[in-house]
Amino acid sequence: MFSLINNGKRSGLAKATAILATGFGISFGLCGLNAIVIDSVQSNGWGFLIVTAYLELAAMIICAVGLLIIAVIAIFRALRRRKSADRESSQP
Amino acid sequence: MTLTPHPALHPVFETFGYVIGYLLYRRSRGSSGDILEDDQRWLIIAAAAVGALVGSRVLGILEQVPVSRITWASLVAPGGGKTIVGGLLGGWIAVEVVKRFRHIQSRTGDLFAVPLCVGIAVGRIGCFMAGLADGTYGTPTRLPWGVDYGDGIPRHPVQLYEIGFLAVLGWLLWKWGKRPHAPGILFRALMAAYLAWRLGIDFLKPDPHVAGINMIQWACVAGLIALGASDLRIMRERRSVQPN
Repeated sequence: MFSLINNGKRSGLAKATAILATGFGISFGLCGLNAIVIDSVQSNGWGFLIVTAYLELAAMIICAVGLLIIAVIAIFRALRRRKSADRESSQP
Repeated sequence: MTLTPHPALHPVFETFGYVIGYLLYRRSRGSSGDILEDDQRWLIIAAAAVGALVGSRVLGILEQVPVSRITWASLVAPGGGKTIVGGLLGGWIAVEVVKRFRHIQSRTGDLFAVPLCVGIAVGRIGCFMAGLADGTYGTPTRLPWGVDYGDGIPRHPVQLYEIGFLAVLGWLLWKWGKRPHAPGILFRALMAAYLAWRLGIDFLKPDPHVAGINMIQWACVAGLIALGASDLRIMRERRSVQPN
């Protein structure tokens, strides 16, 4: 993910945002509900699906943190761009 | 027919839906080309993903307004649902906003039309498998194909109806895409057809109503009006460009 953000191309942040937002969207929907439902399916041989509940939880946390980091990077980049643009415009 | 619900399969099929949709998009971009540069295309995809995330969540929560109190916490609490209509409308609005900021004039949605049909259809398998927990089941019916989702009441399998509808719509859009067509028309056709479909099929869902229809249907009405208004604007633009 960090190589995606720092790949030097402008599409890096957008790519990472798309992937993380999609991941967050998938995991956010039924998470929590799954943890409750897993209890009922464990008894009829579908207990292995508990993995999906944990995966959802992990994906939710990772994607949310990732999106926050991207937001900070995007703000930082925008500020730096504005600073350098101001500097260029103030030069005689 | 009696279904043994497996809500945990919902995210699995939803993930399949996204992956298959993305692979189809890559394939159609490779074969038919793209009017946008890589940078711009990823910006559009990112805007669509974030807009869809917010839109699906907001409408999913608004859907429950008639039966539960809404707080700011319900926006960020896990569970509580998402809706495809909210995702489509949110994604569409976000893309239009980003296009305006980046001065992108071209219509950018055609490449997503067929992949969206297929992706939503695959995701709907998960909704069907999830049973009552997903909240997308239909009203009770005595028709022979009614499905018992685990509560002993046969209901309309509206998720399966939707899969059938999306299969036909996807095929029609795919055929249309192979012929010469105006840019953006495939995506607009998908939006119009899907919103109209949901406006109709949601009468078979036991969701709480506000002034006769549910919140998703109100969103469909708003989306169809917005689509019609923007179609008029496009027609006016085309007419003004055409020489007399």
